[in-house]
Amino acid sequence: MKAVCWYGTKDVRVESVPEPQIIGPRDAVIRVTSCAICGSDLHLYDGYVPTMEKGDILGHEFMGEVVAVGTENLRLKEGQRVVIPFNIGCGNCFFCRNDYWSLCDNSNPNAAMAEKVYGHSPAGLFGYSHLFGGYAGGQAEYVRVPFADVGALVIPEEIPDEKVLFLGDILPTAYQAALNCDLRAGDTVAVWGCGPVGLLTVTCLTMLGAGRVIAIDRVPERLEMARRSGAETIDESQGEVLEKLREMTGGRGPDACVDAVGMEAHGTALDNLYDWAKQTAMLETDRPHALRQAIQACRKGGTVSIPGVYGGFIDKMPIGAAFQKGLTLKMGQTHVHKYMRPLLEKIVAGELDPSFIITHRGGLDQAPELYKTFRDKAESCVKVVLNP
Amino acid sequence: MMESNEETPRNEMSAGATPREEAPRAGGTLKRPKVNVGTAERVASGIAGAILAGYGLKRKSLLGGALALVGGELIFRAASGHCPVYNALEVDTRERGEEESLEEFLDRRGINVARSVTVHRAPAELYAYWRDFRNLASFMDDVESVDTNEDGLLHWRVKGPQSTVLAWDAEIVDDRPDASIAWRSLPGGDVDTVGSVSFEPARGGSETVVRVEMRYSVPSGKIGATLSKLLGKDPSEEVLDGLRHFKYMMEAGQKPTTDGQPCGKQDASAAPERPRHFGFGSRDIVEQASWESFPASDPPAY
Repeated sequence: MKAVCWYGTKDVRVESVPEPQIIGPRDAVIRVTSCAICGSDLHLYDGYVPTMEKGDILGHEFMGEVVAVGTENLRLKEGQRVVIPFNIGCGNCFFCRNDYWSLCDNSNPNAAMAEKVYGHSPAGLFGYSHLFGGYAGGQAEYVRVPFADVGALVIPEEIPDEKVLFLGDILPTAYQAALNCDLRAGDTVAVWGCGPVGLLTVTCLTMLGAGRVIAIDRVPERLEMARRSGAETIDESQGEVLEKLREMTGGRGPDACVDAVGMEAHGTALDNLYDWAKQTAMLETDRPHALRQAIQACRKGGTVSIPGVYGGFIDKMPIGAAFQKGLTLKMGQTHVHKYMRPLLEKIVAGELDPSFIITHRGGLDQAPELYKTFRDKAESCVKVVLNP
Repeated sequence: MMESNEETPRNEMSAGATPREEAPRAGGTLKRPKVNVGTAERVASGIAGAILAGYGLKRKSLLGGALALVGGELIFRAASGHCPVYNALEVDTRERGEEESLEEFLDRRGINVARSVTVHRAPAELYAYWRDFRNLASFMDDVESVDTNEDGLLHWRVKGPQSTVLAWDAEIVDDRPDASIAWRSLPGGDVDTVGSVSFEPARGGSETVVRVEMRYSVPSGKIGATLSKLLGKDPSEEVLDGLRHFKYMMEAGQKPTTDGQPCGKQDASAAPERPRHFGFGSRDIVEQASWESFPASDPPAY
């Protein structure tokens, strides 16, 4: 079969690989009908995530049709259409039982390695480095899904792929980011980053009843999409983000701030250059410009919600500002399993349609060029969907 | 020699053991260096020392003199039974004496490991699985088999270095249903060991803290453990791996694996990309990052 494989920084290739087989008794094998390139795939593409190995199959946002199930998988049947969460949960450990699915104890085969880095191991992830288990990803014609009996969400026949594909990652991620803002009636929320997660966070915040949403980015088309989703916008490339936010909120600051940017923030502020230099010299793993601004901007006693991905260490974290203003910081990989079903219900009911962010479509063969387009934000690219 | 009649189970042994712990100290005075080299090693040391000294003296050169000095040191080591290097490393390779109990001997010469894991199941279920010792091979990678005979003895077969198999018999010395099991090896096996596992209820019994303690001595003793640690096999990590595997089986019903999944062709000549930002070895990752962030006292840049 064909699969999108990682071979190094800015080097992904479409390779011919063997088809996956059932390995564990709770597995399923899925024939992928749609998959997406996620913003976090760009961290792999840009070489910022360690423990990738040449030949690793990428992709953690995918859906398709069940073609094989393991002997103990009693929930799934061949032929069902399913969306798969990007993180793998066993369903039986303390964390899964308490709906902390992204923190599953039993799904990372390389838990010992992750424990050395993070103290404890988070859940295994599809196509996201060997630190998170080294599972082959879903940018391929077929993919093996471990613990598919608790992971796979069966989709009604009449709903097209593009409306439900994002249930596996970015839609629940945006929803969790919005919930983490602890909204109260009339709250103002600022969102850094108008990529796919940022835009869907704007949508979810509006759906959850936020008073005002202010979206911050430097790409004109993305700011336009945010405005169409109901947000006011600040063009970050014009500078003075903190001053503008202060003015727009009557001096108080946003009640909650969302960092939907993560470890590769762009920009020309002094701290950007400092981070870029350190990251390039391998002295810092993550560039936290958006996070610093979010902490600085947030009103006293407010909440900073972080859906953007961080993997290592950051410098110049304004922990003093966070402490002295009594902020709450909420973060982490998304507990996808927890939010898939309620979000599917909203999609089926017509209350939510996340497909508006899709700008580019292609086959698996076009993956290398589409990775580049997405990475460079060329051709107004916001979200790429591949149909194997 | 049967220890079982002179010994109490280890859970209750501490009071009885105290006088024996003092026995070695009574034998030596403050002036005489402590014996810390085993008999076989003393013989080997003496022979090697004699050869070296003889050869060195025959050469009648500066190098020969140096060799003779080293030989002399080895002979002294053999005669006195004291090795200053071992002393510095807190190594003691004396064989187990008549007076010494298995537990005391393992305290002195054994490898001591204690690890725990929390499992989201009730103590009784976990105890039941463990109490059937044949199941140990299903989650401890190095254990080939544990068979029980009609006397209740456990026959252990464990993978040793260089595809050898170490075998020994053990008896269960303490068995508290749904709570704990303790065992100890019988004389005559390849390994001297005592071990225990306890199942302590947590969160009102819906969870269990499983704690394994093991002390064992293989012929190479602590030096072997240090060597195997350098080669990447840390006994403590191995016990933790076993516990982690036990938890996988008890909670998820299987061990997570990617063995057998497809991947793109890997260039055999190129080594896989290794992490560049931080090593996964024993270096303290937080400390390392702190240094890389230095100087952390710079003013914020915005």
